Amino acid sequence: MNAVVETRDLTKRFGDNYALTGLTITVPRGHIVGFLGRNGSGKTTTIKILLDVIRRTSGEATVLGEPTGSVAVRRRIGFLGEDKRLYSYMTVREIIAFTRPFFPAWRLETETRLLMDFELPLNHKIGALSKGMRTKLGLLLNLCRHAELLILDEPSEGLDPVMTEQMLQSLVRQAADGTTVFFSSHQVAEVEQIADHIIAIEKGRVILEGALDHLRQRFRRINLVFDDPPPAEAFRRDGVDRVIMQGRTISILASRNVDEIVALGPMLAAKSVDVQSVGLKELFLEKVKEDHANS
Amino acid sequence: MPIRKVWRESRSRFFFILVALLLVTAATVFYNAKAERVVIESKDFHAAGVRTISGVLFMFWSFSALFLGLGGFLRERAVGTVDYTLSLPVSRTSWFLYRSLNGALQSMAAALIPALSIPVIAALSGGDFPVSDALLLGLRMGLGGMLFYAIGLLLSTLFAGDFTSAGIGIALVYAVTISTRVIESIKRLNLQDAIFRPMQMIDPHTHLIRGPMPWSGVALSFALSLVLAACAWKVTTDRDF
Amino acid sequence: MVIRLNPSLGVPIYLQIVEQIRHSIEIGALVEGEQLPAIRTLAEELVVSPNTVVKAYDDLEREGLIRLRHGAGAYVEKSNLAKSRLRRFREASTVVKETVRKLRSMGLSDDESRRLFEAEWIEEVSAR
Repeated sequence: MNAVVETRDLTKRFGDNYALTGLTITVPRGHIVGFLGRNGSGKTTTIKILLDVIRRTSGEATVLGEPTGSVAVRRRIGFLGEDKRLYSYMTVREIIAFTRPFFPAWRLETETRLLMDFELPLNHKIGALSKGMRTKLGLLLNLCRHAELLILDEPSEGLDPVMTEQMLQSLVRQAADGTTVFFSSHQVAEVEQIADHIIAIEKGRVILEGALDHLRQRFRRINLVFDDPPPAEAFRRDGVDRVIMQGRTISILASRNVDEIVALGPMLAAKSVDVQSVGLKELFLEKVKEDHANS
Repeated sequence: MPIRKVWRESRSRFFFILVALLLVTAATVFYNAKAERVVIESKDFHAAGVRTISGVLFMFWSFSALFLGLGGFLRERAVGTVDYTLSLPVSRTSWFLYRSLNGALQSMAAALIPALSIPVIAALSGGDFPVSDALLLGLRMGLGGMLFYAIGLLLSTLFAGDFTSAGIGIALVYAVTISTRVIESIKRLNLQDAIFRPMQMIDPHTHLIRGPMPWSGVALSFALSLVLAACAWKVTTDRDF
Repeated sequence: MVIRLNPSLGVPIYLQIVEQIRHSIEIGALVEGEQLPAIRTLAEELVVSPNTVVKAYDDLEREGLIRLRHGAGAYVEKSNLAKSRLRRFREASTVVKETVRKLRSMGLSDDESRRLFEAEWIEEVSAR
């Protein structure tokens, strides 16, 4: 099975408000997948539906091939929520002993190693731990499961840069073991760093997705300077995603047929043609603007 | 094991209630013994004991049972742990069964243990109160009054705030107790006798329990609590958290 | 071997890794037969997806710069390919020097020349 998560036309309504408006995504197995979106775009809602914490309004969603809500599937996945809160009345030792029996793939060597690496105090009550410690504990409880799929909601939220790096490193390590990592984030930088595949959403709908390297190689920003700029219509062509008129400079975001679009420059008597690659942040922002312009 | 978590999170609350009820019971037994002008020397703990169970102990216990029903996923959502709990490979129905059974057993224990402490107190003071009486009265209170626990259980699935649930619950408990005494049709159901009025059952001379236990009333009350629990289960499995 | 990555450049990370390893080999920071870090080790060190490192190593192997031995790690290939690449590089730098001189003599500014090259490369990449 190539997709660890699949949704089709997933919709979720809260009263009058639609948090998801026909979301169709596929999370490919064996990748680190970044789920990118602004605050309120529907990332947490999607994840909660996958975990059956909330129920969908319509559409379909499956995890590891089974419909959401399957108890058996949850034995094979891990989850780290944004809140990172755990049972404050239990000690570190107690929650590990409580969690362990649920997961058949749990490895004691991982548990021992992480307890040491993370320096977690076994006999302290969870309520007395700092946020950083709680995050490490949450990570430990997930990493020891050696799950097929790890779902994380804003994993670096509230963490300092050192902790963030440590956390990203442990995710990379799990990925090297074969775990598919699916993490949501509104921080482009960390997505760009470790994800090799991204799904970007806005207002409950996909606006950009694909292998990150593929996107980096596909998209180009083409800047054309004119003495007398032609109207935007002159640039309506297959592959032109957005045309921005800035005085005598016309800036085009191209997703395809870059050479053809570049050739428009000399054809329309451009004074200069400049081609640049596009980073994820820029690409994401452009797609958001495009989405707003279209709706 | 899910039961471990369910027990751990309710443990402190349960012990607190148990200790409180034991203290209340002990104090009231002695108070009642004196009030009846039956001094400890006379060793007659019967009336005192029964009155305690039916009156003070029952009153405190009914609210305790209500509180023992609170908690659940809504409270976990407020605290932030509901995602972790629900992401574990345990169905919502399983969680509900564990929680409701744990709470029901705690309610029963909170009824029986203080009731059974009365014979002990009596014996320690040289008096006498039959253990069987204590057991029967405690059982009747626990089973018949399971209704209050079930009200707490249902409220906990409807309202997030513990205070909201408790407030509404207390109001409902009062409503239930008053209606069983006042409203004719409900009076006929024998609920009141089932739970509230043991005095009639004590023979004033032999101080023994006479007449049959109002088991029909107890059964009806228990059945009602099962219905409420089923509603609580339905709400839990259906709703979003 | 020190690798510094810039994920927000818009240049795929795996290409950055390929270039930096290639550069290390060319300047002798990595020598023939030397073992490269394991895929998971390098991924953890750089904090990037293991798939990215796999891609980079695959590319380098295709270029003949390294060899991946099943289960035994990656090694800098002892071959003349590396040496000849160095030679080719030197030749190419001479070509570039002459071309730049010629373009300047034609009256083009450096910026204009650069844009011509980029347009040509984009065409090449898209045609590939």
